Amino acid sequence: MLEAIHDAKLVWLYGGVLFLLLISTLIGRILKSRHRADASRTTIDNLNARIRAWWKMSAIFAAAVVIGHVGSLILFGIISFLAMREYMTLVPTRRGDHRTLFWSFFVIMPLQYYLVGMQWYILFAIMIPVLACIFIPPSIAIAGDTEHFLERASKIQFGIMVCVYSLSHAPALLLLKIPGFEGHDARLLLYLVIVDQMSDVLQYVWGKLIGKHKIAWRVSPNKTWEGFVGGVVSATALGTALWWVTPFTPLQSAGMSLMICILGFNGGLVMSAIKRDIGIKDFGVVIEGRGGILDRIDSLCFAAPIFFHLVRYYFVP
Amino acid sequence: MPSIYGLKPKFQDLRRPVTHALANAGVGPRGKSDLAFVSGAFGLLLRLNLPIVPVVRYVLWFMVGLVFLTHHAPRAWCTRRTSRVCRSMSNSIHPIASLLAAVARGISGVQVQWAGCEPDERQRIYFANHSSHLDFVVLWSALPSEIRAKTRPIAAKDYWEATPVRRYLTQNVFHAVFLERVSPNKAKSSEESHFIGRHLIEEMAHALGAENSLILFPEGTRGTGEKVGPFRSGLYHLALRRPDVELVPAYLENLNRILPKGEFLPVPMLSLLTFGKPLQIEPEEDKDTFLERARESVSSLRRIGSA
Repeated sequence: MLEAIHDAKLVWLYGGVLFLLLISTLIGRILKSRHRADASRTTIDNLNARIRAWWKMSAIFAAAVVIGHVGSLILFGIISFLAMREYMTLVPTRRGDHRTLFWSFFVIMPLQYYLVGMQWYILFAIMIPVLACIFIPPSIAIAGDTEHFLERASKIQFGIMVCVYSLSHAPALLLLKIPGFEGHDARLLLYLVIVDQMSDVLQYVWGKLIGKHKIAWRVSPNKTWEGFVGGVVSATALGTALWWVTPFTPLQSAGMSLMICILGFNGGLVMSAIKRDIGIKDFGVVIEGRGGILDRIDSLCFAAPIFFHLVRYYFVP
Repeated sequence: MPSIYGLKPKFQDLRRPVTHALANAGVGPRGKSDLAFVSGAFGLLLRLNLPIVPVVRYVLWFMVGLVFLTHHAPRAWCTRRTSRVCRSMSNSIHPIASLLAAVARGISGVQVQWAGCEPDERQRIYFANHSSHLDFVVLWSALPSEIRAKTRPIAAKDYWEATPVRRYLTQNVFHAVFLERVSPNKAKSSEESHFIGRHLIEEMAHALGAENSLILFPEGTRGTGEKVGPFRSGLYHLALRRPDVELVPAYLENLNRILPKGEFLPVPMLSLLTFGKPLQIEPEEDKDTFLERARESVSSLRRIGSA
């Protein structure tokens, strides 16, 4: 246990995160004192709330990484649980889906993380897309309610794919055996999370600063071409600059982080489309104080599986 | 954060001081970081090879002993010196009740909002829509613990006395008031049903006593949760009998999806509980108008559309 503390590069990485948080807290404070009674006040309050949330998340994440593989698995398991809880709360289901939902929450989800933990790669890779997706439609059908049957089955399949299957690829990174990189897998996970979340943040910041041309205004009014390009370029630059914590060369690191950013953007776009479809603004708005996990991790859900498979294909013999 | 439904959220922090202090120290705002915190601690125990099983076993034995001593020890054991302790303990909340309340809060992830009144120790009748077995426990657990100790549920005798476990839960754990469900059709004559009804009201008024509050589900049975069914008249008669007691409407949302009627395994979705503005019988208001108004006051507290 605690081998993570002895990994000097990991400590540097975390130091960098803390430094960034300190700087942003400072900026938040300064902005708050400058614009006391302003129209931009809500934006600044929102920014400060986000920064506070980042402090907490980094602390929990650090604790999980320090505890080791089990800690990360439990952490991501909990995130999956909370995200799926939010998703299922807001997506209309019917009485006939009850038992299927019970199975998804209490059998399929723990099983998926258990399989990741025991490193049974083949089974963990087919567990949800093959086994669960075959299991779900008949288990709904057996309840006897045929109204919107196809829709209901797909909703549950999609939810479990995104919230559980995709996300479980993030802690699965810890179990890859990359030659010359043994014992440092926590760095790879951290790299993925940092690049992905920074891409979100930077897209938001660039969009607020210079955003003009909407990408898909029907889906999300906050997504602009300027924000997208600015965010992706700067987050890719950040990812490239972090090549020393990964097994990649700087060029490979640039490619990987570019891919993470673009996939993350797509994740956000898809989740926005779902939110518009259900008729809410944020997953966190309806259940105040208890929601918003899905808003934070949507990009990670799309980036994690492909990052995992790229790393596995090119770097694991 | 402004809600899109135009209601300003107001959080009621009902947790114990320790968790409260943790929250103030920035450890976590609400349930999710608590969960992460607990599991992190558990992971740490696993990693440090601490003897988890014996520890858990001792904790369980300790709890069983506590339950026995506080709730089942014969009165004769109470000497003069300990009698005050015994009495104060048996008036307090049953540990199983606290445990069930914690479990129900965890499963339902309930977010409580006091939209029309504040939690208060005065005598009240909380009346709500009924769609799940979790309804009572969730509503009860949303009250601060001082109020919780004095708040009793109404339980239907035919259902809750049917098996020993149900009887134990309602009688010993939650100190429920048992009531016979009477339907006007089954009674032999209108006088008889009138008589039984009057008797039930007296029983409820007696259960209210000088300091208790009640939790009532005036629909009489669990519905599908899509809309609030018509109210039985007990609420009206009880309100006439005890005009000094405040009538507080509450709406429990989404619990019908968490544990619907006929299921025994819950799905942990999120739920909402909203307390509304206290209601009073207007002078010369007749029964049906009042019951309809009460029903309306409950169903108007709904926050998400028909989810």
